[in-house]
Amino acid sequence: MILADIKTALLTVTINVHHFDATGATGNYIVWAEDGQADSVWADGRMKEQTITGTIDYYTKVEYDTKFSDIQSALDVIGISFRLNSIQFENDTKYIHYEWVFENG
Amino acid sequence: MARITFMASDDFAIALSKWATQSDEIARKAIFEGANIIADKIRSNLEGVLSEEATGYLVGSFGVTPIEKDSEGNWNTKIGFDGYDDNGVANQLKARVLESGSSRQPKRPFVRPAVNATKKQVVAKMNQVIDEEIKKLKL
Repeated sequence: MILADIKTALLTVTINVHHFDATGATGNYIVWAEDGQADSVWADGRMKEQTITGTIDYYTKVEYDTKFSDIQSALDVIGISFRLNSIQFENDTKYIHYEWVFENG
Repeated sequence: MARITFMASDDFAIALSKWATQSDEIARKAIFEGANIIADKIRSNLEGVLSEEATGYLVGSFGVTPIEKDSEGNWNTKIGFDGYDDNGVANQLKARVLESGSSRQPKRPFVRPAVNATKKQVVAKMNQVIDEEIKKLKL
């Protein structure tokens, strides 16, 4: 699987998907970003496998938003490892912020 | 034919007894060494993601708790943030916003990358400490 598959999967949930930067985004939206390496396998002086980590954030003002489950289902479909890392509520903006960490290896 | 000899001597029994009595101290030493590696990396990452205008409160509030045994008998420590800044904002909250971002602020992860980067090193160091401490007991 390639990283772009994540974007494709997220686009099945909403068209409001941003990569790295969501400056100026309005409404409910997703922003995702790869941010490092979780692990790698080396052999014969070459890296044979690499696990890329990153985050997927969903900002919504809808309580009990069904897109929360839709995002997880979309990630299941492409077979990516993920975990829900945090859920936060922003008092000032009233956004509910769901954050997943993924590993793509 | 293979032969295995097990010397169940008094010396061996004494050594095992020493190990049992010292196991808590060994665990504490191993956790201390491991936690320091992660904490140093987190602190270094944190200093790297903070702006030049940062007051220093967040870095100053970062630390490692005393190593204690939980109700299940496991030794633990926690690495994190404590207290509030001058505006009454919890340092834990500020750290969370840095790590996870918000709708108004891009995330600047510094904890998870530190854990990923040091995980193997920490496990190796803790194993080394345990091995060294057990050798000192002359089992």
